[in-house]
This record gives sequence, structure tokens and C-alpha cells, in this order.
Amino acid sequence: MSDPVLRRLPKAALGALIARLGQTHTVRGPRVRDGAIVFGEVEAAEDLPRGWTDAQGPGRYRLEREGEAVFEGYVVGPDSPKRAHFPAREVLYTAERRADGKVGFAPVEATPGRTAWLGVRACDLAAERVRGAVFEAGGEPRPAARGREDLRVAVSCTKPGELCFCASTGTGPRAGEGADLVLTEREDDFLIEAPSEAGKAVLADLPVEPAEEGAEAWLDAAMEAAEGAMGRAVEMDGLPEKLLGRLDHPRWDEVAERCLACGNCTSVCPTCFCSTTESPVAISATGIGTVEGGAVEVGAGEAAQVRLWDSCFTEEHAYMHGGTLRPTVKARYRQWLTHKVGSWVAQFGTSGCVGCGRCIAWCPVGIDLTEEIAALREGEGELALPVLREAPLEDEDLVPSVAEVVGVRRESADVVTLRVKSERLAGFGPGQFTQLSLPGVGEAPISISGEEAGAIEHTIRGVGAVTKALCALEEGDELGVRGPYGRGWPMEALEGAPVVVVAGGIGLAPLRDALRKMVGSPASYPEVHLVYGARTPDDVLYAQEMLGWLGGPHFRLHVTVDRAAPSWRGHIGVVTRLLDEESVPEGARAILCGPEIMMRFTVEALGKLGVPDERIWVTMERHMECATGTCGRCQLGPYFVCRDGPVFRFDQVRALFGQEGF
Amino acid sequence: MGAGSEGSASGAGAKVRLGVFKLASCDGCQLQLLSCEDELLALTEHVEIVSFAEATSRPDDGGPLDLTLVEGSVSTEAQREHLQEVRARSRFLVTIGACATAGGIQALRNGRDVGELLRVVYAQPAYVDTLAESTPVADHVPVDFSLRGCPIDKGQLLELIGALLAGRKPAIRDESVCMECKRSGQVCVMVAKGEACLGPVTHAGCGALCPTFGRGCYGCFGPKEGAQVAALGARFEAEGMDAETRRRRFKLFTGWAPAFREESER
Amino acid sequence: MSVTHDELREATLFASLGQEDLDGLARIATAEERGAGDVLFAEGDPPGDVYVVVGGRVTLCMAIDGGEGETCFLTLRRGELLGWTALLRRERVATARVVQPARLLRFGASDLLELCEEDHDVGYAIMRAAFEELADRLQHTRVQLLDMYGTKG
Repeated sequence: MSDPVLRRLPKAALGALIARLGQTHTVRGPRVRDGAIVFGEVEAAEDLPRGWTDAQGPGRYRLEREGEAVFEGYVVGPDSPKRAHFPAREVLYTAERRADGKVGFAPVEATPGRTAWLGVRACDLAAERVRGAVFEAGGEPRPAARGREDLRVAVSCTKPGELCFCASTGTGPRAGEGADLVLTEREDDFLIEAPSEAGKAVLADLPVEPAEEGAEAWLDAAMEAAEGAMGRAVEMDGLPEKLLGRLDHPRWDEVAERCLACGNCTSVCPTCFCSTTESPVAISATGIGTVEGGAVEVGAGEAAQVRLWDSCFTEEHAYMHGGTLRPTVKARYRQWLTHKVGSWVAQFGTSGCVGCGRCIAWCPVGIDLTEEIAALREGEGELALPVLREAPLEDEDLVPSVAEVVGVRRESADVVTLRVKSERLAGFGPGQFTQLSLPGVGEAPISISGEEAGAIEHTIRGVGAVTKALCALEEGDELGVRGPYGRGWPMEALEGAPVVVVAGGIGLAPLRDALRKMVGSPASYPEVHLVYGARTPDDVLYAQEMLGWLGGPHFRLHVTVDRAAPSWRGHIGVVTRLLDEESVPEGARAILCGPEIMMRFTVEALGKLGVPDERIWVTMERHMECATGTCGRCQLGPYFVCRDGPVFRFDQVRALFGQEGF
Repeated sequence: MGAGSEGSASGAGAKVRLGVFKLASCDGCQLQLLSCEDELLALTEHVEIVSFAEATSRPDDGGPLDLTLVEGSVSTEAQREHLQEVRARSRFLVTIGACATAGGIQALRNGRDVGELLRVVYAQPAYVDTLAESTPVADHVPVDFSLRGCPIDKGQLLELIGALLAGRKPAIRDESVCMECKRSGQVCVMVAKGEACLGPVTHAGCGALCPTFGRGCYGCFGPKEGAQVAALGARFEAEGMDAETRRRRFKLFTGWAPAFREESER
Repeated sequence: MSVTHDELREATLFASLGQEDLDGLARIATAEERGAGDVLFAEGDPPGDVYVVVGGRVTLCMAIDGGEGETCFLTLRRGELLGWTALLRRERVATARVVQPARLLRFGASDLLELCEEDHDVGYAIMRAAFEELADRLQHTRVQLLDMYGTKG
């Protein structure tokens, strides 16, 4: 920030400011609509809500006539610039799947909006930085691209509202960072400063004059007074550890009695970023979604991938095959709050709350997060989990590449291995996964189970609509691929020690590539035990290949099934029955993949055999959509399973493992 | 992508055999299908209409149906029998609208003396054949999917048919009306105007139609999953609504749906 | 075939017993070698002897749907108790079939019960061990019932 110099802008010159902004940008500023102040197009000073004030309380917002102020009579309304940069509904790409099995994907580019935001507050600027960090970490270019050429003419708040607490979150009331121009309203004029070059260029064309002597001191005092006039306050210190350590606090039950799980709080929150996608097909040529106000047209039979705002309060948000992980309102509210003011810090290096108070005002039943936080602070328990955040992803525009199916191998009644030719997936590591997609059907995360003759293999069980459609593909068909994604198996950490691989059911697929590498490198992996549980002998995957591995003297295979016909000569019973001194040698490291309950019993059994948590790695499964940490759905406490996992060292997740609703 | 693409996402194949039937209802939901003007012609490329009294005079061949849309509640014995016949020939049965899904406005009579109601309403009640209660289709036969609303939303109907053709899960989200309301940028009528709005507990799908026109949602899509109805009722009363008005708010087109019924009896 | 203390100690059931107690057990135990395919007892048989598997593998199977084919749900290995319902004088609820040549310790159910009756300390130790082993087995059966590798996994 270059050193800002305070100037005076007469109130009568507001129109000149708007006109000057309008020369290069569409000006959007506070407008009265439907009983609230929201952002709308501003063409003249008269459009601004001069003389309006907002009376806000929990679950209550009313506009009243009072005073003569242009900006200072009110604070933030339900709207924020989030809607422009991260639209509530947008088409990510259009796609088609032809009768001959070929597919195509055409990205829908985000174009800069060239909006001049007049009257944004410090909390709005902070929210844009918070959102920016989220999408930057995930490599999603669209939101930043939309805002790149915007101007931000901010207002420092001298009169915070009843629900404001930006002084507590350190995000206001004084606007500066991120602003091009900053206004502070006084009775007869505005103080104006230009923190950016773009702002200076505008300022140069305005009828401003140097501020009077003492204006700096006046502004400092006004801001100090505003900090003391906040209607709400929150002690933010230590919240991540406190909330994570108090998942059983009685307050969660209490708030769940009142919460409607309607999603209003997350929808008005300027930082909430959870989204979902839909894959509609146009029955006839029709506009299928809107991007920045214009409908995206697709031809009849064409598909689109549409992203829309979601909320952690919806049932579908944490949906996994068979049901939601968070069936109760308690679990959903707890997920929201522990994320917003807690695990957000570990994920993005900042709190997700900017103190704007929107979630309090626009909650239909008036739940006040500052009260909830205060109540939750009264209690015992703290839990700190290691931060696993890594370097941001790059260029993850979420658009798939076309890949060809070069082979299909049926593994069992409902499991198929697809062999896929894709340059995009080259260089994957064992345990990583891909997003496979079919236009008009949808996308599904599928683990990579190996590479052979230049084709990447995915072993898929057909359970949902997408996986069933993938299982029905034939050689020569095409599909969409994205990836590879995620943190795979720690191949280096496994070197030199005996390795116990415990797999359950389809869980063998994500382990197969790691097994192949270990079987092929006896010098690095001197003793490898595969302990594998399947439902029936017919469900045993890769049987032929596993028999081939037995040729290596360092590889031992232990297979068990849940039930079998009398002709089966192998073991029957749960997989943990096979864990003993022989299959788990001293000093062993273990890698696990299977249903969570199987892993729970396995970790217990391994512990009894002397394998500590730090030498066990597990792969977690959660609802994943974007695979880049930007849709918010696969959260496990502070972790995104898609980016920080799916493989975790068990000591990192033990505290959350099996925790209801997490 | 050009519009000149050949084929479609659904691929080629035999046409889907469609049947549309009505029980106790006003026909408004069936008419939503006919009002899909832009898509109707395209649809007939994929769909064979086997039975649809409002749309075709061709006689029903009585054969099996791939997709069956049932409108209306079960209000007479004859309707119950008709429904069972329809179910027996249907692979995928979808209830369309508040009547079929929740019993409809006619379920207001449930729990009251039907004989007395008949005498009050009809001049010659002897000619009226009715069951004591109007009940949703799912009370009588297994239902594969439900479209909500009074009437149903045209977009959701097309989405359902499109999803069936493409072999995917319909993107019909069991979330609150608030989610749609906020996505479309509406100002909350409850918070900003004090309107009693059922949006927070009501299944989405209408595009937040009523709040868009400045009035509170009256719940015609019925309760969403896990609707926290008592919490919303408590808020209405805290804002000054009397208990009787609150009960009546939940006793409308989907008042017989368990979550709303409970609140209207509390 | 004579039974050694080492073999008896293999059994989870007797793991906590002392030298003298093992002498008593050795007197009532016989050791058997059985080949693959041998049926030790069949579902519905009257209560017979109790076994401990010392080596090899034995599968437990039940006829489901009126005897049309069997489903096997557990294999027993070294150290595990087999045919314990005989101690309750109940008829056999499953068929035990050797799938890998097995060495077994065999006890007359009444001999074993008598031994437990005569010395309640020994009896308590054996019953406690049996209780633990069966509790584990119950737990495992529950996990199997979850059908966790199935589509709802």
C-alpha cells in the first residue's frame, strides 16, 4: 500500500465520483430493494439510500427513515459482492456425449465483471480476501478472474451496527487493504484516500482538496470510537482448539433445538463457499444456466456442468452411499461453526468469520453466533490437530479432459476395471484418485489402481448412477477425466520395514498400485503382507494377479471372506482374525483401506500387536465433488479428504475417526 | 459446442412408455406436462404416451409402463383399486403434486366427521362416494419418487424425465426453499418484513415463487427432510402470532404430511 | 495319541492353567489327525465331544433354505475351541468340516464338565476363557452381519 494522503470530497461531488467510476466500470452500490439495502446498479448519487437507516437484530432487519447520511445510516445488508465473483449458479462447462460414445467438453470462461463496488465495507473487503485464499488454494481461477478488473470504493464505518463485531475479528471498521478508494463520511463531506494506483487515477479526476489539519487525528479517533461501539463482540482467541475439543458440549444440543437447518446463514455469509454440481441435459435447446446474467445456451441433448451454492446444513452436503454423515441438526450446526471460526484457520491460515453479523440478522429464528461462541467457550476441552496445508493447486478449472477407454475387465459381478488412455493422469502416485465423468450423468471420484501398457486403470464398483454408467462403458468409448488428485500412500516411509497391507472389499483397488511397487522392489520392501477381506470368494479382486505376486519370497498373502460355499479352502471370518504375530511382524508399518468400521477394528488389533498410530496410514472416504478443496464437502475437521488425504497417518485423524457427524 | 451434434445424452434405444393417471385432484399437475411447450416435441422422440387422458384420445393398450405419473390423492375405494392396477404395470412410479404426495387440500377433512361434511357441502350427499380420509399414494402402494408442489414445477418434471432418460439421479434437491430464495438473490420476507414464511421448513423446487413476490411461503411443496417445524412455529409465536393462526399456517395443501400435521395439532 | 502340555497350552481355553491342572486335562484328552474333507460333526447331530484345534483348519457351515447348499461362515484355527455347544448338551448347530489337514484335541463333554465341577478354580478358569473366546466370536459375527463390503459399505 502506498502512503495514503487524506483529502476532502464534498458531498455534492459524490455524483462526480459516480460518473468518473462509470466511465470505465459498471457502478454497483447500496440500493433499497424489497425492504433491504442490497447491491444494485448506481448511476447517480440520488440512487444511493441517503437518509435510510437499518435497525438490525437477531432474525430482524427493518429499514427506517432517519438522518441525512449517504452511507453511515446503515451497515451491511443480506447481499455482498460474493454473488458477483462466485455466482449462486454458474455453468462450469458444457459437454456432449454422442451416440458413438465420444464425448466433448467446452469450458465456460469467467470474464472480468469490471464493476466498481461503491460503499463496500472493511468486512466485505476482508471477505473477498478470505474467499480469494480458498479458491487460490484450490487453483480455481474463476472467482479471482471475475473480480480482477473491479474497483473497490470502500467506506470506513464510523457507526457500526447492532450486529457488527469486526473489531473482534480484526477485519474492520477501517477499510484499507484491498480498497482502491476509501471514503469516510462526515456531516458535510467525505474524507477520501486512495490506497491503490487505480484509486489514485480516479482521485486525480475528482474535485478534491487536501483535508484540513487534524483530519488524520479525527479519523483515528472516529475509528477508535467505532471499535468501541460494536454491537457484538467475540473472543476469537483459541477457538479452533476449543471448538474441536468440545464436540460433545451440551450447547450443540441446545442450539439444535432452535436451528431450522435452512441454510440462510451460509447463504448470506460472504465467505461461505460450499457448492455442489448438477449435470443437466437439455431436452430441447434451452438456456440451462446463467453466468453473470447471461444464460448459457446448449443444444438439444447437450449437457452442462452447473455449480451452485450449497450449504453444510443440507442433507445432501455430507451424503455418502447409503445416507448422510450428518443426519442431525446438531451435527450440521456444529460442522458450520467449527469450520467457520475453527478449522478454517488450519485450512486457509485465517478465520472464516469477518464479523459482519449477516448470519445473525438473516437467521429466521435469530440464532446469534456470538452468543453460541460465548457459551461454547464456557467449557472444558481443547484439541489441536496438525496442519497439513500444502502449496496451492494450479489451474484447476474443474473441466475434464477427454480420455478413451482402451480396455474393460470384469472383476466380479458388480466390479469392473476400466483401462483409460489419458496423458493428464500420467505421473500419478499410488493411492491418488481421479474424477471420472460422463456428460449428463455426472462425476465420481475413483481411485487409480495402476498403470499398464500406458493405460491407467480404475477399478469401479457400480453402486450409484455415475458408477453404474462408468461400469457400462465399452472399449472405444470416451469419458472425462480430471486429476490425479490427493495425497497417496507414503511409499518412502514404508521402505526398509515390514509392511502390512490391510484391505477390505473394493478397498484393495487403491492399494493395488502400492502393492505392485512393493512386490517389484524387494530391496526397498523386504517383507510385505497383504491381509485382505472380501465378502465372498467371488468378490476377491485381482485373484490371478495376486497369485503371481506369491512368486516373490518377500510377499505373503492372507485372504479371508465373510461367507463361502464349502468348496472354499481359505479363511472365513473378519479380517482382524488374520492379524497375528506372523502377519504383523515386529517393527511393521501398516497401510489400510476399507470400510471405516473395518479400519477401526484393524487399528485396534494392530495396536495390540505393537503397531503405534504413527506407523499406520488409513485412507478416508467422504463426499467429494470438486477434488480440489473448493466445494467444501469432504471436510474431516480441519482436513479436506480430497487434498490433505485421502491417505492420512492415523495419529493425525484418530481424534476424529468414528466421531459422529464428522 | 455446436448445436449440430448428433445423437443425445440418452443414447438411442426403445422409447420410454409413459402413463399419466389421476385420482382425486384438479388436473393442474398433469397440465404442467402439457405446458412444457418447448420440450414436448423433443420429448416425444424419447417417450411414447401410452395413457394420458388430458393429452390423447388413443386408447390405453394396457401394457407395462416404464414411467408412471400419478396425480391426486386416494379419496374413494374405486381410486384405491385403480391405483393398485396402475402400480402393477409400472416400473417406475412417480407421484406428482401435493395431493398424490401428501393427501392434498382435500385431506383437510381427515379427522373430521365425513358424514357431516357431506351434508354441509353437497345438496344430495347420497350420490357422493368417499372414504373417510384423503390419503397420499404412498399410503397404498410403493412409490419410487415424488414430485412436490401445488402444482408441481415444470422444470422439476423435465429434470425427472431427463434424468430417467439419461440414467442418472434427478437433481431434485431436498433442501429448504430458502436455499433457492437466496440463490436467486431475494430479500428474506420473514426477516425484512415480518412475514410468516414456511420456506425454512419447506422442500425446495418452486424457485421460491411466493417470496419472490413478497409474500411468505405457505408450504405447498411440503416439509423438507428433517424439517424443524416446531422451532419455526415457536418463532412465529415469539413474533406475536397466536397459537390458532400458527396451527392454520401448517394446515394447507400439504397439511396432512406428518411434519406439518404434527405442528398443526400442537 | 498322547497329548502334551505344550499342545494343551496352545488352546486359548487352557492358557491360564498350571502344570497340575494340565495333567488332569491330558488324562481326558485324546489327539486326532484328520484329513481334508472329514466331517467332525454335522448340523443337527446330538451333542458329542468338544474339540480344540491345534493345527490345520476347520470350517463351520450351516444349511440355509432347507438344506439346499451350505453357507460357511467361520474357519477355526490353531488354539480355537470347536463344538462348544456340546458342553450345554445342545445338538450341533453347524457342520464342522476339515479343510486343511488338522490336528485336534478331543474331550468328552461330560469328562470336561466333570473336571470343571471337581475343581471350581479350574472350572472357573476354563469357563472364563471360553466366555472370552465366544465374546470375540460374537463380536466378529456382528461385524460380518454388517456386510460392510456390500453396497452400503
